[in-house]
Amino acid sequence: MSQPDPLADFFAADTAPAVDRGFRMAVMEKVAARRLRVELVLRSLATLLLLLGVALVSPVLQRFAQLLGQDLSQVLLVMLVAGTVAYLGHFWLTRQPILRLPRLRFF
Amino acid sequence: MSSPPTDAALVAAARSGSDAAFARIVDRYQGPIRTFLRRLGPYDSDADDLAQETFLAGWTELRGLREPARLKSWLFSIAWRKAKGEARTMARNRQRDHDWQDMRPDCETPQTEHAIALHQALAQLPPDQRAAVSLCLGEGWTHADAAGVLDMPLGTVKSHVLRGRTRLAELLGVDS
Repeated sequence: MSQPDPLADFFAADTAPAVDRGFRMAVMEKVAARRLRVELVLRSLATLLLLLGVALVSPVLQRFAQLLGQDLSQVLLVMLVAGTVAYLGHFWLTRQPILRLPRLRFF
Repeated sequence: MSSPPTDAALVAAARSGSDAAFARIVDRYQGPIRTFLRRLGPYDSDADDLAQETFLAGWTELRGLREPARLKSWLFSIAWRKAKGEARTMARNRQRDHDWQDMRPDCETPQTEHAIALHQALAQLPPDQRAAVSLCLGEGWTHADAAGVLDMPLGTVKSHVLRGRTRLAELLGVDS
């Protein structure tokens, strides 16, 4: 039979707790913070690109609106107001936003 | 009763965005990683900070893990890299905070005489030797696995363990 290792008792006495919920929570908090930072950066970049795109096509859009004329612009305005009211009404009744931004998962 | 999920299954779930799966990975390996890091440095609180950073790096680099079944070795190699890299930083911070720490009541984990004696004895060993001894004698790793984690040749690990064991036995007053 093999002899027990005399150092084993020393190592056995010096172990961290197998599961420490506080430690797990601290790690998961850091994970959440990092995910938030990454998503903020990505969303900011996406917004910046969107604004850049709108700025690039805005001369074309302005020209298009002029071509449509005053009457059609008023129709579009009425539709926009009706849509906003419908959205706010739905949100007030259900407390559920219809439009939900997709979650960006890169990790 | 269902068996606990394998490391590979947890890695796959965590990669697809499951925080619950990653929390299970943390629960599964926090004990060994914290113990390993605590044996490398003088302060448990520093080691625990480093262990948190290890898991955070693990979460960030999870997609780069080629063999999910070798999750444990992979986490230990991250821990070892961080311990080596941040040893200097922590020493500087410790120096800066030294006075403040002295004024605080001791908040480290209460330790037994054996644990204190082991810490003091381990502190006498060079860092590489301490790491090899911690893995092979403390955690029961094979020399080959420890060599992989510590990124050292097998012969070097064997030599570190042999010399470390002799030195520890000498310092602790037990038969080698």
